[in-house]
Amino acid sequence: MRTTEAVLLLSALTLALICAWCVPRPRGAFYTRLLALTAVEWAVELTGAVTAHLGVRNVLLYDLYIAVEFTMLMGLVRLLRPGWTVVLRIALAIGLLTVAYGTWQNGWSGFAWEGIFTIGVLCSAVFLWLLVDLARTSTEPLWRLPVFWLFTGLLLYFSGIVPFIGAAKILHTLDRQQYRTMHLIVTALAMVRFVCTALSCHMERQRVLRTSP
Amino acid sequence: MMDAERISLTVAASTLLIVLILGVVVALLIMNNTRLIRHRAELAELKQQHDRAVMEAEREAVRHTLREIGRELHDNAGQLLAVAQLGINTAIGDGGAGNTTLTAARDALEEGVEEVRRLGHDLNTDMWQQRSLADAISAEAERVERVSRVRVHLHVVGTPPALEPDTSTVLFRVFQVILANALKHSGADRIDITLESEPRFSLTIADNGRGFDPATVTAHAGLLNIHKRCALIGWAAHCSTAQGNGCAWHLQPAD
Repeated sequence: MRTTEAVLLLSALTLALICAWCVPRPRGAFYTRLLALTAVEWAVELTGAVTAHLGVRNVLLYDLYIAVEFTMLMGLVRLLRPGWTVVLRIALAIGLLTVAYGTWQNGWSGFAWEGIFTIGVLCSAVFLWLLVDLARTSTEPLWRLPVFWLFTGLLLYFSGIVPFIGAAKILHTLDRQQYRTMHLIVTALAMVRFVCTALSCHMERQRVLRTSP
Repeated sequence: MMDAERISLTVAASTLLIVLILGVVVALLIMNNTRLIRHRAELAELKQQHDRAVMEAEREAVRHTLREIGRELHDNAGQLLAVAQLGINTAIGDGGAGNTTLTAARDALEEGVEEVRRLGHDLNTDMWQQRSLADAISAEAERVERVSRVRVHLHVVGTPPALEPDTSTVLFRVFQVILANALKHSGADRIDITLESEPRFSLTIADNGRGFDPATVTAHAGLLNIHKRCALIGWAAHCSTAQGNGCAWHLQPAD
């Protein structure tokens, strides 16, 4: 089941990566960073899948990855809303501090659950507020905006994983099998997120091709 | 074991609930945004209507003023000149027939009366009820030929359609501006005016003067005014010219 999960997730990620790569150059700061983020995610998930298959512990990789991912995501939001810089920096500081705290609390061999949970909540709040702001200020229909789909996917992912992350530590201790089953939620949400990323990049590509002379 | 199952169930239910709520929120955002965009479009339309109404009111005010000035010129200045003309004619009849100064004054006065009448007529926008644009252009062409050394040729191809008084007024003013520019700046000795009805109504004014480099005078207020006035009535003005090659203005309804 874990192999199927990894294959499905990597497929969705590969699709997102291809779509991000296909955004015509010059991509602009936003889509260049999104491509970099997707490439990092792809590399991490591939490494995670291989190490898990080989039985090597990869907890530290994911702890580092969540910190890097969060930093890059806040950077993406900042590109869209430069006026939010202070709030985003505060959120970033809180997120990174809780990851550090989680790592210190659980050691190198345990996930930084507190950090991941906090980042999930912070991302949900920031992305929801961004979507509300987009709906308020956009002059064209929301569903036609590529960034709308990107952040809808991110919002669904980060909000959706919060209940699982909140209970993961206890579940992991109580019943490993149950924990693995419940982890399917994260995989499913991640797939939705990467399909949304792919859709966003595809829409951006269409938009650029339509407007280029 | 039971605890783990309960926790899992709670997690699954919470996730489902969150995803559902977010789905509803996103749908609401899309609906709200659509409504907002529609509202903005309605506001823009209202503003456009308001601007059109203001412009129409301004045009009506200008029309009214011009009509009043025209009437004043015809009724007051015209009458005064007619009285002066009568006096001079009487003086000439009372033994001043040989007085060349009096005769010259009478001739100048006659021209003055004619000019005031023409001006009064031109300023009156109601004249378009009785006179077509082709007639007005023809009269203006004759007048220009009379007062200058420029030969003006009018070609009317087909039967020009009847235009709205506003359109006729603006087109006639634009025509006068182009003609005045040609007389003042081009050094032309021939101006060709063509009114065509087919395939669509258009007016062309071409001179054989020195022309100009369009790149150097594109921002000239006079030229911009021609374009602006035409745009007011939904027409487009196109100028073809080059240094030493004369100048041709082509006016036609915009696409």
